[in-house]
Amino acid sequence: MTANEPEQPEETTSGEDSETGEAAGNEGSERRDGRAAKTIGDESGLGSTMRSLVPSVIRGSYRWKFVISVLAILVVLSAVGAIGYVNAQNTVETDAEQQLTATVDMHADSINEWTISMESHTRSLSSAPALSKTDAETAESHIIEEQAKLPVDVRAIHIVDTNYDRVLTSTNGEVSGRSLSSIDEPWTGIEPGVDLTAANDVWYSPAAYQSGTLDDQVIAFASPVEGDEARIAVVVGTIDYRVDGLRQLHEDQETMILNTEGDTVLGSNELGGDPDGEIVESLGTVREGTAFERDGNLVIGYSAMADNDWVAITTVPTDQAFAASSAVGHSLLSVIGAGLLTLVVGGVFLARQTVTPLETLRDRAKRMEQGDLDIDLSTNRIDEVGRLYESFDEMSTALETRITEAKEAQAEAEAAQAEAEEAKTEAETAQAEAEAERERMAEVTAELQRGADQYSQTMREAANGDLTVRADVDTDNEQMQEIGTEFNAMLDELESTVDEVKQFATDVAAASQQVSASSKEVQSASEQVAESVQEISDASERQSEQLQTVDAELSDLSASTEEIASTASEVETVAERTVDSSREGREAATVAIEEMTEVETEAERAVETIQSLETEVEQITELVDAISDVADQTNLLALNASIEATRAGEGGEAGGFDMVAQEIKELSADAKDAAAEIEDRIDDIREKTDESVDVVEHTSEKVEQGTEAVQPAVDALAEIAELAEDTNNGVTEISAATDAQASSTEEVVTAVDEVASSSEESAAEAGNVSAAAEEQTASLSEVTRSVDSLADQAAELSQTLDRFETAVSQEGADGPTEADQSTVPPM
Amino acid sequence: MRRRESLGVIAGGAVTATAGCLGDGFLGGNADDDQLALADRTLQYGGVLPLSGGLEAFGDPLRNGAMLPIVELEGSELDVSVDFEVVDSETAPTAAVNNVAELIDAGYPAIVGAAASDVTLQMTQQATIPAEVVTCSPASTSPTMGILNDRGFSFRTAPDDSMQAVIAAQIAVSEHDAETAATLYTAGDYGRQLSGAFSASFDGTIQHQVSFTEGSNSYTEPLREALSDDPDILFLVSYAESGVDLLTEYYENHQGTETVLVSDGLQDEAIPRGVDASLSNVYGTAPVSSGPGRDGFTSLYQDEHGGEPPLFTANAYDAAATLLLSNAAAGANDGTAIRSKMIDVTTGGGTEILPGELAAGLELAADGEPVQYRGASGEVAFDENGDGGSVTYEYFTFEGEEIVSIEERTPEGVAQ
Repeated sequence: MTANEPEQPEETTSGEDSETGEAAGNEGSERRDGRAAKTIGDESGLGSTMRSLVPSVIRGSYRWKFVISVLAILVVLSAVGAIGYVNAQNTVETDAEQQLTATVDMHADSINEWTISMESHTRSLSSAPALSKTDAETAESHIIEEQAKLPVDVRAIHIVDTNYDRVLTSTNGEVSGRSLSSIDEPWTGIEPGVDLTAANDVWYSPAAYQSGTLDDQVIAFASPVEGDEARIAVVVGTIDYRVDGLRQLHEDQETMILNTEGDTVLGSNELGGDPDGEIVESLGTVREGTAFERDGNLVIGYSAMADNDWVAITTVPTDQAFAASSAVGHSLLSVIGAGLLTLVVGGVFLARQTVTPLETLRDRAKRMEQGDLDIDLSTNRIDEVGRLYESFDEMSTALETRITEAKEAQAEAEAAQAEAEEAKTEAETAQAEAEAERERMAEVTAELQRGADQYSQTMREAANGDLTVRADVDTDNEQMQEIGTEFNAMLDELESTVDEVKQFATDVAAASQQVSASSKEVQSASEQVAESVQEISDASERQSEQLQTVDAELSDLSASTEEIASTASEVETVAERTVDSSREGREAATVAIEEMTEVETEAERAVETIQSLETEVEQITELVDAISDVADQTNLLALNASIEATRAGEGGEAGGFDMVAQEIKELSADAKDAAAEIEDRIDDIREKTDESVDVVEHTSEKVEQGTEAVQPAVDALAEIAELAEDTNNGVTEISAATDAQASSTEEVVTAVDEVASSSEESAAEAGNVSAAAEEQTASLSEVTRSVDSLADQAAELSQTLDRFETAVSQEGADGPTEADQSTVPPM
Repeated sequence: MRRRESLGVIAGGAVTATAGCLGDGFLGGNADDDQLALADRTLQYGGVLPLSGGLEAFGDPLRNGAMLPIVELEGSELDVSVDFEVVDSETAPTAAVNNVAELIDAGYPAIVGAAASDVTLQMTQQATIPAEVVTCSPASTSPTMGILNDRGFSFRTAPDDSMQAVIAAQIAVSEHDAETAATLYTAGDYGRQLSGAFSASFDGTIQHQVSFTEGSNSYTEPLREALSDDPDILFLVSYAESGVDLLTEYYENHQGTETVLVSDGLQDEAIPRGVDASLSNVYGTAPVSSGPGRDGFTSLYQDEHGGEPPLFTANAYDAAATLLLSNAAAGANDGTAIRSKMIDVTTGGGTEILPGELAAGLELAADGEPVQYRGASGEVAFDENGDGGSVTYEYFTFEGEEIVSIEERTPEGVAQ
């Protein structure tokens, strides 16, 4: 058995070939006796070059190879780690720089926003009409209200009166009314026309200052009051809240504001470092952009503000700004360090694990080779090495076992051989016995054969039909005797059975013939029945048809009767309506007559009225006459008066009388005229009255005529009513008569229906009977057929059985036992 | 193989230890700030009140009103501790701003105060609003408070003066048949606003609106100017201290046939006591504490201090009570949290809490249950401007040394 070669290490170092030049993945082989041997897979030129380069010391020790590989890994990891570290540092630093720049930019924007909003508050405040040329009260009221509305950044609002160099009013009671020189704040020095030129100009203090009452940093904004050149509105706002609210990324981050000249606008005492004046100037001039610089142990970010010449500056101690990068670096280093350390430790450990067992195995193998099989190859490991140990162990155990087994097998083989010799002798004895036995058997067989031949002949004859033959049972062989006896018994039974069957067949044939004859008779009788029934059926059908016809006719009659009845009802209805109409007509006529009578009455009354009117008129005429008389007499009087006047006129009083007389005369003339007129009118009235009377009388005549004319109509209507009544009665009678007719017709129809149905029933019954008879016939036919077939079959059977000869069939022929003698006795 | 085992153990131990550190780093610091139970907390609130200065007369009553909740809680079974501290506003804005810094630095999240409107305006804008401290004024009635840009931190239980002016103007016409009037007001937002509103509502001629400075030596000039055209009504807006001097001078040198209508600042017993005259032609208007909890508050006050509670005392109690309820509901002495709760505890529906039921209210609020506080001086329902004052006013006069109420009025047709 040869020693096994050490196994391949798991970490291959093929990557380091170019770097360190030691043994690559190819296997080195350890030689003990200097013989050259083939190594596995070692044919490439590269491999052989490697081998030649690497000193044999290293190639000869696995441990050394392992160590050098691990070292190579360490170097590579370190290099990669270093590169990574440097990269990470750079990235994080760049990131921190960008963040800082962005933050300071945001701060600048925020502060810029603040200044813009303060400026706009100032502007809108200064354009309020309540401040322009008003008294202090009004102005104060306004600014207090405005301050309340503005955010709390606004610390105070002052209104400055430049004519008197004093503060007109202020939200701060302590400032209100004071002269500007007594206040030590930047806005007191504003010169209108210099600092504030236009109406919407806003001045702001160049730097933040501490306000009087509170400790915060404020900036003052001022704008001239619109419409009042003497007044300036000042808004003092604190920038502290805004700055405090700026997000600080780092603990010691400070923000300050410089203007372009480098003067501090808003500073912080804790700020370290020197901002670069050039950067500040360049950014402030352009009012845009950011910058970044590292100044000793500080990182400084700059950002310009868009709307004024300020620059926001943020400083952060370097170690805080780049805290992230240090942290990253440290963790990276620690990761790499830990990795390397673990690698070394692990490598050493693993090498030990691999190399030591291999050496042990080598020793043990040597000993095995030398023949010492009793070696201890136990181990607690279960990995490849452990399995190797196991395999070794198993192999040596197996060898031992094999050797032992082989020896035992040999001993067994020899014992077996001795046994075999014995068996051979026994076999020869047995063979002689077998020969004797064989001869005896041959004899018995011959005997049996003879007997069998005899039996076979007997059977052949029986098969041919002769059931009287019997076998000869004279033989030595018991079995053959038995067979013969049984065979004979069988033939006996068979013979008797066949006899019985033959007899039976004959009987059947005779009986069937009888049945056939009688069934034919029955068949003819039932045919006759069927015919009669059919006739009955036909007759009843005809009857049924006729009844149907009658039924139909009666229905028609019934229907027409009903029509008559309905028509009669209609006529009745019409007649009733006629009666109603005529009654209505009569009533109407009667009403007409009444109306006309009334009219006549009215007309008469009218005539009476007119007549009375005439009477009145006559009376008036009399009155008129009377007036006329009076007139005449007045005339006379006048005449007399005139005469008297004339007579007295010579005196001088005549004038009066004359006048009077004249007047009386005139009066009487007027009266007379009036009377005449009245008379004319009365004549007119009379004429008209006459006319009316004529008309009324005329109307009256007409009415009478109408009345007369209506009367015949009324009579006629009465007649119609009577006639209609008569019609109605007549129709009612018809109706009643037809109803009676209809009902009796109905009854007839019903009766006919009954008859028809009963005749149908009998027809159906007849049909049933007919059908039953036919069935019977059919059955009988079947019976006949069956019987016929039975007869045929019996005949066939008889024919078949003829073939067999039996004692009965052979009358006087050979006796039953004679057949025996024709057989050949067995051997 | 023992070596292998020992190595394994060491490695395992190292991993476990580092895992523990990691665990702390990721998961630690996520513990919620669970709300402390009411019994474990101290409810803090402060007061900025006029213990000296022009409104000195109101200083003690306001303080009593603001401290009454503490008395009430001590008498109840509720296990809670309350911390209250008061500073003097000196009735001057600058002093108030300086003195309130003390309270702010000590961490008080809510303050009852101030009394005078000018003082409150400056104190809030300069100090409490930037510091995110909630204030609730019991007596600042100026309309300007309603438009204050306060980020929700300023409240008041005092009524808004714009309504008092309307009532005074109505009374001038209906009770005294006045056709002409002049106003004489103390300089400052309170006086100016009230005078301006009165002039706007008065149904007649306003002859003069004259201001005077509080605490002057002589009020001759302002009085003379105001009465120069013989008005029917002199509307006098003043605080009590200068009111006494002013009225004394009036009765000595300037009294005419006019009726004097005074504002709420002069509803003070110091007036009839200090002015040596009959005061028969003096009437006044003042807001009335007429809330649903009036009786409960009055009995509490009388048990502790005796006598009728003076003007604005009930408002001070209401201010303190709402601040305490909001503090309990917020669960922490934090101004921003308390601010959010002020409107909830007065308008949000829930169990009704009246003066006298404060202990139960605090317990419910601390448990997160909704409560609705109904005050002694009015319903006290804060709107979005922080105004919670009542709208009922009292028309009063002086008889002997007492203030006598004639009737109570609500302004008609005034938009709230």
